[in-house]
Amino acid sequence: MAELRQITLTVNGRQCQLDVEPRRLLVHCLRLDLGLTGTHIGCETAQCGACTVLLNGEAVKSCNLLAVQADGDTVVTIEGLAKDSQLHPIQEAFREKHAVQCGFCTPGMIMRACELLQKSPQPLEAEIRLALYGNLCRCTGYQHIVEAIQHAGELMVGQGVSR
Amino acid sequence: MNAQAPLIGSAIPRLEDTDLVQGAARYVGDLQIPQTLSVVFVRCPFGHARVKSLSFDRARQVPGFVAAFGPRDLEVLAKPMQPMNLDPDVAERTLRPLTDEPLYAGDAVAVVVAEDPYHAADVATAVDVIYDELPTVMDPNEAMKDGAPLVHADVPNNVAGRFSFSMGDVDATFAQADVTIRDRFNSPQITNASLEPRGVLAAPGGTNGETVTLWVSTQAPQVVRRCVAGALELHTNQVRVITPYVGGGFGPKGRPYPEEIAVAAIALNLGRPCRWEATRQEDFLSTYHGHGLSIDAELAARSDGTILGVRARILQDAGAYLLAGLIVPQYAAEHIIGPYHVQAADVQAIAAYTNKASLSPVRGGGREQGVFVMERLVDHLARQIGMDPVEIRKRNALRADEFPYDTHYPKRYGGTIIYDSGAFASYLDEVRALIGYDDVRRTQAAERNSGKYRGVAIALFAESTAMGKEGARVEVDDDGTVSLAVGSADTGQSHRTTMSQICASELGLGVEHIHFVSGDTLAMEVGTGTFASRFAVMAGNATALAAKQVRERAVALASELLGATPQALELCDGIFRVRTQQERCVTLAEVARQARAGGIPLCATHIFAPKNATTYAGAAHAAVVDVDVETGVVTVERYAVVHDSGTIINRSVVHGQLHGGVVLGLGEALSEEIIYDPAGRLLTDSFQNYAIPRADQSPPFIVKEHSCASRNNPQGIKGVGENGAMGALPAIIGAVEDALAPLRLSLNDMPLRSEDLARVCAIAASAS
Repeated sequence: MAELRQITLTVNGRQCQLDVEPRRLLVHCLRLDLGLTGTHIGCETAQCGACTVLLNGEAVKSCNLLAVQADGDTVVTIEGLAKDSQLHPIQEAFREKHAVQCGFCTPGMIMRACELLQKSPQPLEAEIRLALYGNLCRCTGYQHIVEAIQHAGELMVGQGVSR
Repeated sequence: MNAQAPLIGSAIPRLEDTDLVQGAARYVGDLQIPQTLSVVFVRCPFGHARVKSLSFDRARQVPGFVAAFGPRDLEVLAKPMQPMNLDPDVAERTLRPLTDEPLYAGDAVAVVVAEDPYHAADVATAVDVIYDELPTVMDPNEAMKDGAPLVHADVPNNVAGRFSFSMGDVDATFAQADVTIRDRFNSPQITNASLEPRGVLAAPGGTNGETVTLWVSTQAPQVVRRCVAGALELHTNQVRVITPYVGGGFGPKGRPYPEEIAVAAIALNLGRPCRWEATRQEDFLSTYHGHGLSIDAELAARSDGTILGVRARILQDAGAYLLAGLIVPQYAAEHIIGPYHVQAADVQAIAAYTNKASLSPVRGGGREQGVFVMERLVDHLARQIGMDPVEIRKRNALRADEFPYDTHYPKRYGGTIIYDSGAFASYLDEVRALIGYDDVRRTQAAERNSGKYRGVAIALFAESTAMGKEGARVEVDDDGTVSLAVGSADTGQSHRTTMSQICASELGLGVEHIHFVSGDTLAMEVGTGTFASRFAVMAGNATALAAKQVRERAVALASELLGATPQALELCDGIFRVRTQQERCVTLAEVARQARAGGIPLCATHIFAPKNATTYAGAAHAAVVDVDVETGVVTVERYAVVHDSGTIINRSVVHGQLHGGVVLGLGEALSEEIIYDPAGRLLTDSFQNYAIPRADQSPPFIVKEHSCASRNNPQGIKGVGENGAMGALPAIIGAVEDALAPLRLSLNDMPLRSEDLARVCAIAASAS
């Protein structure tokens, strides 16, 4: 068994010190070591996007990163979006536009939408669809998800929220 | 929430979503039970082999090792599962958890247990298996030839079963036809590709560890429960199956699996909770595959476009084992005649075993292949006689005044197919307008000259929805809130929301007052599963009837308490009031307390199991596509649906189901195919080589309701879950043929890959 390495991650605003094997994926670190099971695993070839989190503000597939690669970094998962039991506008928009069915792709979709709306606050439909290239959904046919992200952009601009 | 606003028909936001959008919903892989062990299966990578040797010597040395089992280490692991359909015409051979003669790539030969998932994977890698590869048979036609390798030694010519349906005089009909159209259609095996791979967590319990609770990513917990209890020789009340949140199912999670038996057996053997989660590759290998049909079909017609009759020969690839009987080719056969006047039909079906994963219905369940056959034949007929495809359908479609319509088409277990209600000609007119059919027709010829190839097509069909039985239990608690339990599991269909809408509506409450449970065999032991477009119909009616019973008793009690007649009372926001004297009132909570004090709680259970539960939904779908003739890439530019789903509970839910079904159909039409090599190794085992549609490949939708209430259930509901997948194949493929109309193509093989279409276009271009 390989030696454990100590890493420090700031996850959803909380600093965590962990001892991990070098081979441990970031997604397993989040789900198993920190109990943050909202980030899901849908494949092992980094196609489906269910594992998407924000790493230093960028959307990354946490199944495609070793935990040791994230040493010293800041991670935001789906659990870190709502503030004081108030849903984030993107979460609210997904609810309003019926963009969720089985919910398995949803956290990844929402985290990807976070990054998109930060960079492009009022994206066009085609831009949204292209941005979701790396996030698969088998239930919704994507239309309501696209509408939710457009609506979230409007909500965020209206509320003066940028992240 | 105003409880007086009608709840049935309201597109309220879903009750499930607050948890789901926060990542607070727990799927099988998220459940945290202390001391849970990790289970990994060792699977044969070949299509057919014998295990020459199996050794755990190295595996036992790996850190974290807890246990390892071969087929002979626990009797239950080598026992075949109980067949699902005890049909004498079908040679059903079922899976077993472990085998020493694997019959498909993915068949498990050993199972290991370790303290955590990483160590379990290490242990599995250290299991030494030596295989003798055996001859495989990978094509159902080849499988039936004399001398072909046998998948099962006791099934001659690998024939799993056959059936035929016949009505009218088909030979005479074809003899008198002016025109005959003949085509052969191929639908390869596909996979459901639900975003959550399969998984099972089993925990021993009870005072002496004699019970087992399973959490399963399944559509049918009641079925899993009976299967596991039977296999482990336990009483059903020693087994409880709970569905946590489930990340999609689409059919293949509606059948029981050997892993459920194995994980339960191992948990009981080791006395600790055990969890298995499929990797995506494992899910591709071992989750039951859909489709795998080839249909040779002929249509007989008059020169004016009147359809006379149809003949079809269905060849079904059954895979290596059968656990779903012949339901897939049966659904295909039943949907070939469509919503048209057809005087004669003859369908023969045969299913053959091959060394591939087992067959299961996948969204559509075979119906969509029947629809594809008729709709493509009709389009080819229209082309042959120079008639517009919409006009030819209108000529043949059933009229609104003909319902209920007896097709005279025999059902497998007796009776004939009767469509209860519909307005098919109207769906055609409405979808034609919605999609802008005439606009495309007006400009497409000129656009072709400038290199833009745009096409439009419409598909019309009837869809059988609902079957089986479903239970609902409604109880008013002492605080006036209501507990509602239904049987079948939610895999994304919004059970909590839709059933709460119905229950709350009946009891004059807001949906927030309903505590809802589904998919827990302890809460409700009666349920067939969430598939076959059945849940809204079956559970919706069970819920409504149970809630009605509760309401009637509550009204009677309230009238006693208030000294008024039942007719004088109204119920709103959880309070009974005398209509003309509003201050005379009693709460539903108080009525419930009085009922309990009197000895019988305010509670009712209804099992909805009518003799003829099946009700026929319908739709017209339309697609506009653009074809890039150089790359062969097809873009669906827009998509419209006019659908009849009977009484609608929640329009947002229905639209979501339609969008999702169409996009799944789009994948089947353009990119999805399970491929094995001649040795039976699975080549399509990841999202890298099996492409499901992405957001940038999916169209915008316009959906319109045209509801014709069902005649077959009190609520008038029809199912809609599979409707999307059924219309997408003919609409999209038809639109591609239309875009390339001068080439007069018959694109009958799915998927229509871009490279194949590009080749066809290149050949046509060089020939001209």
